[in-house]
Amino acid sequence: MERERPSVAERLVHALDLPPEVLLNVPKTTLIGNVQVLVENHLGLLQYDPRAMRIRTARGELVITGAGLRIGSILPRELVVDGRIVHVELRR
Amino acid sequence: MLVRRLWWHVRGYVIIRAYGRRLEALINGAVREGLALWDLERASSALLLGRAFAADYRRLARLGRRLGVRVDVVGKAGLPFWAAQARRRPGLVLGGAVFVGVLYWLAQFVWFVHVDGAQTLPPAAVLEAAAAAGLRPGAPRADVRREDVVRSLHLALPRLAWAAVELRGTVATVRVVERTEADPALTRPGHVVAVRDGLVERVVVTAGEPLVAPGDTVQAGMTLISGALTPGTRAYEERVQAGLPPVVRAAGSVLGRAWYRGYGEARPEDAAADDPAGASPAALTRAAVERARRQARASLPPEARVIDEEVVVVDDRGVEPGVVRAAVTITVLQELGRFSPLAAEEP
Repeated sequence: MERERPSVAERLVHALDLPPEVLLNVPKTTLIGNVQVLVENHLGLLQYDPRAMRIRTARGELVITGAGLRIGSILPRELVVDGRIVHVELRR
Repeated sequence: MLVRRLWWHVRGYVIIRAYGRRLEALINGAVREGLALWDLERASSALLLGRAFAADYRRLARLGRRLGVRVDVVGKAGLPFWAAQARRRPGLVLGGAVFVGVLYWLAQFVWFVHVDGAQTLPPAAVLEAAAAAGLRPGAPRADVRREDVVRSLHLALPRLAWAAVELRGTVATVRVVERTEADPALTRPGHVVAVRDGLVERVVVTAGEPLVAPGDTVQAGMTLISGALTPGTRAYEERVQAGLPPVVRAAGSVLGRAWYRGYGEARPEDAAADDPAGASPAALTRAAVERARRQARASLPPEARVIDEEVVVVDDRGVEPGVVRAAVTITVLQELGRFSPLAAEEP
């Protein structure tokens, strides 16, 4: 098995104990109960309908499934999804 | 979040309906162009509802045209739209302003005056005294001087022990506490007089001057402790110095012996017919003594202590054969004195 060598930024984050999302542009996903998902550092929507949402991120595709999904607000860095959340998955 | 909502309202926003196939592309494009979107809802595969700032609408519509999505406005909200509406209806705005103004103006007056704590005083008297100092419905709040009202209440109503005025909004509450007057029957001067004939054994005086000593015999009605002070005594001088009449409410205890008598008789024919023993001389004697004793005890004061009992039995066969008569004399130690107020001569 070949291990990926960590990048400079990753090593810096690790060495200085910084929050990774600040430097690495990786998504930070916060799930609040089963009613809200907050995605920071998203790169846009791939698909949106009330049952499923696919969000592009620097680390792959974030898939949220549920019922009655709504976009509470969408800003360049931040996306708030409201609704009944059933499943959150990261696909590479 | 609340701040953000407030910001949407302040800037004004439109409720949009986007109709087309590439709705995700519209959202991504808007984000890339820095157009904020919120409350997005996919109504169907080709229909998206949402909100955007009113100022961004033109750019959003242009973006939609490029992507083949029609963006319509279905509603407008926020301060700028309200302001526009208000400009079209100046009368309504003026009416609202007048309403608020009048409400504010009316709040500057006292409209209700309540009385709290008046027990025997008529509340109307309290209200009248308050009104005399300027506290009445319709008076401007700023003109009500609470100290003046309290002073006026005390002047008008000497029975007040305490008064206060509380102003809360347009309601003024006058709180009063009435003086508790001592019962005049408990302060009136007088003597301690004998309730019964007796022989004095002990005298304890807490107020007034004793007129009897242990060993004296007294008759009912006699003064035992006098409330009228003798000139020259210290108590008398103290009263006069204080400007008070030299008459006090006499108090104390005069313990003495008193006697109670009872009489009873028993006749053979009173005895029950089916009880031959009831007619025997011994039984008759017992019955007569018991009746006499009961009669003597009937008038005994409750606190009296019985110290002796004397029984005299007369079997007067010569006069009335078979009849037994008995007399019982009970000697008790009891309180002989009782307070008796002087005849009312108050001014």
